[in-house]
Amino acid sequence: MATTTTETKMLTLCTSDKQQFQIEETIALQAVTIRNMVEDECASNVIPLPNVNSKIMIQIIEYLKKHVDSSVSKEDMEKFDSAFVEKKLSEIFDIILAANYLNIKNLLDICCQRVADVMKNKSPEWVRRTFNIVNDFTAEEEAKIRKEHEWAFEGVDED
Amino acid sequence: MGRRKSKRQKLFEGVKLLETKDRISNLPNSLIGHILSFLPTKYAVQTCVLTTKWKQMWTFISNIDFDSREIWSIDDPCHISFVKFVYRVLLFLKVSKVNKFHFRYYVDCDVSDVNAWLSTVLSCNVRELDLCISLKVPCLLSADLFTCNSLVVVKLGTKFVLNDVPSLVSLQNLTTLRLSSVEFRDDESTKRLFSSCPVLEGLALYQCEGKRTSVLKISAPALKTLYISYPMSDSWAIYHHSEFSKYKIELNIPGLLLLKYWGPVSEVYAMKNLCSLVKVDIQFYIDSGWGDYEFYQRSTTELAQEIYNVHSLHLSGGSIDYDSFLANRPFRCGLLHDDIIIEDEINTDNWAPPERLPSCLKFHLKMIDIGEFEGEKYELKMGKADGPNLSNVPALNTVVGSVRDVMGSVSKLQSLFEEVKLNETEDKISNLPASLIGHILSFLPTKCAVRTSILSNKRKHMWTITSNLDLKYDDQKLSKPRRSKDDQRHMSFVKFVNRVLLLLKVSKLNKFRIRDHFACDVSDVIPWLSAALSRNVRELEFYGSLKGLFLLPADLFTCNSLVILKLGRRFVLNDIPSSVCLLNLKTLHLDSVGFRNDE
Repeated sequence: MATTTTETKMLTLCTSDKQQFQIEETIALQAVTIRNMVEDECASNVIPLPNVNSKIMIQIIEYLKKHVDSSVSKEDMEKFDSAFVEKKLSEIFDIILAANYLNIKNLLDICCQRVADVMKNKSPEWVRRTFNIVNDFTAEEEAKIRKEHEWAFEGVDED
Repeated sequence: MGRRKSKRQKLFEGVKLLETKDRISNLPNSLIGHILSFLPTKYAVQTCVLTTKWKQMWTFISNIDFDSREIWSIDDPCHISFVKFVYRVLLFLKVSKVNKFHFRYYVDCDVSDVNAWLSTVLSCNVRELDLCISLKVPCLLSADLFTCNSLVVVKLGTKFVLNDVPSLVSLQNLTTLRLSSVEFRDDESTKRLFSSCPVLEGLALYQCEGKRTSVLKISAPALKTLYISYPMSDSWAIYHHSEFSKYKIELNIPGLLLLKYWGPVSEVYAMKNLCSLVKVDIQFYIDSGWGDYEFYQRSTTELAQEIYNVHSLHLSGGSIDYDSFLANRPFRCGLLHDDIIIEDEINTDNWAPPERLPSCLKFHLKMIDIGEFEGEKYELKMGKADGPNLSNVPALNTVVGSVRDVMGSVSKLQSLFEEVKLNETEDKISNLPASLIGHILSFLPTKCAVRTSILSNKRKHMWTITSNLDLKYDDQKLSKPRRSKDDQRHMSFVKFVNRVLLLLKVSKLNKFRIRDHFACDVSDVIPWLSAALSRNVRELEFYGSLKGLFLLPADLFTCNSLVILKLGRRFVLNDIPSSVCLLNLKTLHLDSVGFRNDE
């Protein structure tokens, strides 16, 4: 990056559904994967992001735009983050996958924290129901595992 | 729609969250492991019964968090089950790098177990180690802890022993070290440990006693905050009969910003390079009966000499020669100080108030806080001419006294105020109409408002016309297990609330607010609520823990005056009268309130 111009440099991101997003470079570079691509100069004008669809990209850009703003106080940022993760779980999972691929650590962590908060203090039955996980254990198998990790199942509220 | 949610709403959230297909199971293992790392390990392991795919999923967690403070007794069958569980988790764990190892457990553990767990996580390149456990016998900290370069944060307690620290300490990345109730057995060990951490920024030594040690030497180039506190004891004498008065504390910390030292006076303070200090909090434990005044004065003054440009200074218990300390040292540097607090123990007969305030201090003094005022003669002397002459202090605008027994026999506070006059030449406040005074008092917590009854005869009943009641049981230091002392204190609080409600003269109560985290009896609370309701209360707020479940009284639901209602903990809604009549209610907060029937 030898030449720096005063005007803001833009990057074009291309999502899996061939939508193009023009955003300021400083915003996009918060994603380590994009930064690496730009630094390695393997990307020309358009950066292809085959693992992210446009619906999720919009939300990720919303997040990155807020976090690039250094004038936002820590408190406000936390407020923004906690409001940001108030989404349906299926969306959270999409964002987790995208954040993991784009390597945006804080975004990955707040989404994982959100999923963990949903599971916290909940019985396995509740977790199965909420996450729509189909139990494929036989009753005997399950009882055996519960016995092995006895302490983990003590004192948990049913629902 | 507001973003804020009450707990009750969160409960219903589960329904909304229901997924239509199983997304989570199809995430890559490393991501699931990452999600599970945010859970207490108990809940992470629980997921093993979800499906066969999940059986091993928890073994990818990088944070381990055992917290089992609910187990108290070694006879609890859960204890053995818990120990077994810890072993299993550590054995199954697949990650090569543990990020965090948190462990909270208050049943006496076997040293051999703890050593095995510690050495396992140390070999996993642990970054953050936070152990707060109880041990059967003191446990010597193993040598590999001091050569574990992956460590960034170490918090250890209790009953560990620091001895024979290897000469080659290698903690290149350690930034935070906190030792609680760790015993120091030799001088060389502490010196090696506290001088071999190149990036250490925070060091805290809580209740760490040194047996057979004579010096505490700390030399850390990057250290910013240092806390040292020694155990408080009912009798300070133990320190004087022990070797403490010959103890040496040597600090060489050029970047130190914050120093807190709570402990006995030691023989020598050798403090070099403390020039960056911003905040200092020093509280000496002084045995007034022992009273080697000269020793105290020499030693504490010596320490004070090292303190230069601080912005905030809190000194107490020492017998510092204020003239040489305050008059010469900090002000000579021409810096303005934000906050200087000097406490003197004045509960002994041989205490004499400082003859005069150092003149330099006089222009900056804004507040005097007389801790626990008991109306004794020598306390009153503070305000009189032969003490520091307070009426000549231009900036003084506040005198604070906390009165130990609110309803007690203290009646002399007023004479102190007269002496000081608070820069007022006449008593304007007492001449205000009673209703206005009542209004002023409405802005105070009820405890403070009631305190004004001792100011003068005229004010004796003034607080009874306050229209806001704000009662808070504020014992922060609730000891566990609860001691009879706490029960007594709480009983006096309950009595206080009863008294206030009984004596209150207003017919219309604006606000009634009670916060009491101490489990109170349902039988006490019912009359409080109904007293408030009968006074047409506008805002009703009750947060507290109750011993039993408490059915909300029916008159609550027909109280038309209520505008705001906030209730917390263990109330039960049941049998609500059919004619609910809350015409003005605008805000309703219910926290942990049980619903018994749908009606």
